[in-house]
Formats: sequence, C-alpha cells, structure tokens
Amino acid sequence: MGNMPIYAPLFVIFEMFRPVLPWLVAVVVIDALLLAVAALRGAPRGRRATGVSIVIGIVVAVIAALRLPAFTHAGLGDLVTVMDFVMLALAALGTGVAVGILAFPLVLVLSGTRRG
Amino acid sequence: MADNGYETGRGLSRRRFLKLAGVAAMGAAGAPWLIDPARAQVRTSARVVIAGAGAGGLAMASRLSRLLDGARITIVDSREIHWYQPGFTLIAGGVWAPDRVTTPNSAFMPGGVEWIKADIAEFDPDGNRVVTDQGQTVRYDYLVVATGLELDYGDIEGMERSLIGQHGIGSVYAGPQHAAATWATMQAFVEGGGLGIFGRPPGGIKCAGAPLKMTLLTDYHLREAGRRGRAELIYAAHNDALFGVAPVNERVTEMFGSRGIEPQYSHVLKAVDPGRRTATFDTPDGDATLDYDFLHVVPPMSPPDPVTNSALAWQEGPFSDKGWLEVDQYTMRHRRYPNVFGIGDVNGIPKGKTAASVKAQAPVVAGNLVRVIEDREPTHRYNGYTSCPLVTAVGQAMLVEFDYEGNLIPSFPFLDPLEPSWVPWMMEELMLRPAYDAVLRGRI
Repeated sequence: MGNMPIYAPLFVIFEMFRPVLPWLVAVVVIDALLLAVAALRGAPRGRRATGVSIVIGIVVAVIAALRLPAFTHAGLGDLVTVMDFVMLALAALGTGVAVGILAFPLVLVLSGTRRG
Repeated sequence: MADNGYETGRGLSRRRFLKLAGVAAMGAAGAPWLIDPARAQVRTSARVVIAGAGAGGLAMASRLSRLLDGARITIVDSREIHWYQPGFTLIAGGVWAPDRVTTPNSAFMPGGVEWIKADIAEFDPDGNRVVTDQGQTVRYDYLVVATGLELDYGDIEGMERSLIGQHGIGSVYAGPQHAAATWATMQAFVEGGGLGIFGRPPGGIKCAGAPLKMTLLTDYHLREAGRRGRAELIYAAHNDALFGVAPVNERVTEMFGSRGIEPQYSHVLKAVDPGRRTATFDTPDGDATLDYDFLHVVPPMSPPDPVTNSALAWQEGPFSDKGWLEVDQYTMRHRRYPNVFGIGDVNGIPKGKTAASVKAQAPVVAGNLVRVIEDREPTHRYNGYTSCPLVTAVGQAMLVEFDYEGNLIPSFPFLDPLEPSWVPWMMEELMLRPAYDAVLRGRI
C-alpha cells in the first residue's frame, strides 16, 4: 500500500491465487472444453444454464459470507464496523460470481440441448 | 436451427462460446502480465551488486532486472530460505503454523541475476568492491545495500537467542521456530497466570508495532481462556510513549487502559536471570528488578558488522551510534558515495524498518538508481511511509500507516486507522502475504 499503483490489486490477486494457479488454469481449460462441447452439440440451453449457475453462485455467496470470517480465524462477532459488513458482502459476492461463472460450462453441458 | 454455427432464439451460438472461452482463458492466464510496471528501459553494461537477499534485496533484483537491459546484476547472500517476517506475530499469536512463512529464496530470484551464495564480509566503497566471507571479491559500478539488521540478544545481560521458549521467555523476532516457541510460552502463561512483561528497547527496531501486538494478543488469549483476572500485564516503554506516532500512541494508551495493561515508561530491559525468572530494567530511578512469569524480549538491533565497520556507516549524528547506513532519507542514495543506495532495515533514517517500508522504498531506489546510471539526478522520493497492521485481537486489527512526520496517511480512506475492525485483520491474514510476494517480484 502507500501510493499503491492502480494496477496493484491485480498483482496482489494474482499472487493470492499463485499457489493454486495450476488448478485454476485446469478448471478454465476444462470450462473451455465444456463450452466447446456444448457449442459443437448445438442448441445449448443457455438461459436455463444461466439460471442454474446464478442459483449456484447465490448459494456459494451465502456460504462464503458465513464462512469467510472463520476462514480468517475470526468470528462474526469481530465484524464491528459498516465497512466490515460491506467488505464481507463484496467478498462473498465476488466468490459467488466467480464460482457461478466457472460452473456455467458444466451446467450448460449437463442441461442438454434444446429440442425442436 | 440451421447448421450455420448460429442459433436463433434463446440459445447461444457456438462461435460465441468459443470466442468467450478463448477470451476467458487468455484473460485468466495473462492479464497481470499485460501491465508491467518496470519494463526494460535503459540499455547499460553497468555492474550492479545487491548486498542481501531479504525483502529489499529481492525487490531490487526483480525491478532492476527488468528496468536495466544488459546490466550485470549480482545478489550476494547465503540465505536459501526466505522468511515472511510480518507473519511472525501471527505464529506467536497462535494463528499460523511456522511453515506458512518460509519460502525458498530461489522462488523469488529473477532470471538472469547472478546469485553468489555467501555473505558480505567487507564493504570497500572507495574501491567499488565487496568481499565475501568466502574470500571472493566482487566489483561493482553501483551498489545496493540491503543487508537488513542484526538482533543483539547478547546486549541484554543473561539473555541469548537459545533461551526463547524456555524459562517463560518469548521473542517474536528471531525466526519462525522461535515465534512458535513464543506461542508455546504464551500458552503456558495463559494457563498459569502471573506477571507478563513486554516492552521494547531504544533505537531503531524493525516493526515497532510487534511488541504492542504481542501484548494485546496475550491479553486477548487470557480473556478468551477466562483467565485474565489471574494475570497482570506490564508494558515497559523505553521512553515516555508507547508508540512514536502521536495519534496512535494516544489510541494505544487508551486501549491499554481499558484492558488493564499497565504502561511503565522509561524502562529499558538490561538483564534477565532465566533461572530465577527476573528481569532488570534501567529506569530514571535506578535499576528495577521484577519477577516475571512471561517475558517477551525485544532485542536491541543494529546493522551487520560489515556495514558498521565500513565507510558506508553514518560517521556522525543520531544514526552513527550503531553505524546505520548513511543514506539520504528521501532519495535513499548514499550521502557520500553517489553510486551506493540503501533499502530496508539497514538504512539510517528516522522511520522505515518494515516490509511495507520496503514496498514504498523499492520503486524509489530502483528509479533513482536508473536515473543515476543515465547520469541524471535522482528525483524519486520516499516520504517515510510505514505501515503497521496493529493486531488488537485474533480477528481485529487497526491498519496504521504514517510518514516521516508522523502524519497518518491511510491507503484506504474508508478505513478508520485507529478503530480496530475485521477488514484490516482480513487484510493481514489474506492479503498482505500476496502483496508482499508481489513486492518481492517487483510488480508493485
């Protein structure tokens, strides 16, 4: 911090995920392959898959909101300022969005194709 | 649907799928590298030697290897394992395991940088050379001194590093295993109660917030265990304040008061008798000896002997007593040897012995060194930025950031630097290590 450049958070996030980067890349590659499979099969049920992915994202976000303080060795009682709750909500939202996006290709394939 | 790669109605086209997949994969893998804060900019054949492979040395190696095209960069340090020192208080507070702060130094060593695995035995700035403890002479055109500092446990009579974890003695500074031993000692104190003594020595020390954190964490664990009433906590301040920045001092004093921690001012630990568990303090009223059950020792600190014994050390003024590196506090350039710069704990400057200081100093030192190589005046300036995530309990902290003048300069205006809360703790727990690694890789 301290006159931190505007791009700094990008590198911090990258370093945060560096230990699991191979796994993350694997998930992205698998997702790309799943998207390709869905595309090649034709007529994917995009809207249904989007809905299911959003539900998954919401569930994950709720779980993240409840578990994130414990993940940092803190308790919900340690959240005492408005910013604590805002940041928790944002972190949970981000986690939910990320998981929802990553889940979308699999959900899309599992949703099958549109008939007719 | 027509088999043309497109779909009408509610579905998605396969072309869009493939495009989206490609963009997502490229974005995930490559986005950080699209922004390079330190691209190769200056063509030079200069030989740059970096003395020390701690946070400052590695950050400089990373930055200079990208800023300088054609330079010969050598880093000299025997250390194979890097310690993430800001994590030591989390180990000593029972939150992290020791292995969470150790990484092979090779993981941060940039390609193309020569690593001499030896320690500096002699600086010869008049001859533009350093000599290693293995007898190797390394010549340079430009030198960055990043040796860090030494922990002088032996300056306290009866104290030595090996006592940490025994006889009720803890000390968070000496290393990850010593921090873990300090946690074990704190746990025993929480079980048994009695008198816990904390404090700090005079002079420049790294992370001056750590002694306060250890005091507050001990108080926290006593309360969590329901045993606070069985313990008395004393903080022995070396002067008339608990912290060198006025608003932080006021806040910590108030916090100590509300938590029943007794400050004792102008008390400097001078002797320990581990067998009898006594600690003797130098005070304005003479020596004062206290029986302790838990003693958290913060050793006096000094530059390594090769710096102190060289012409690079301050020759007069407040930083000459221990021989800290004589650099301009703003440009980080040596005041008498213009081809020498300093970064990190070794610098003889009013503030700035934290990893956060290194983060702020690294672009200044690298930028100014490059300008000097280009035969221009150094213009980058370090304002004394120092940060201390002051842990007040497991789960809460205050993100205190300040400059040379003691002004609070919060990076995040939405966080009150004097109000303990979860967000600074979450940053300490989750974000600071990745930020630190990015500093070592010269990315921020």
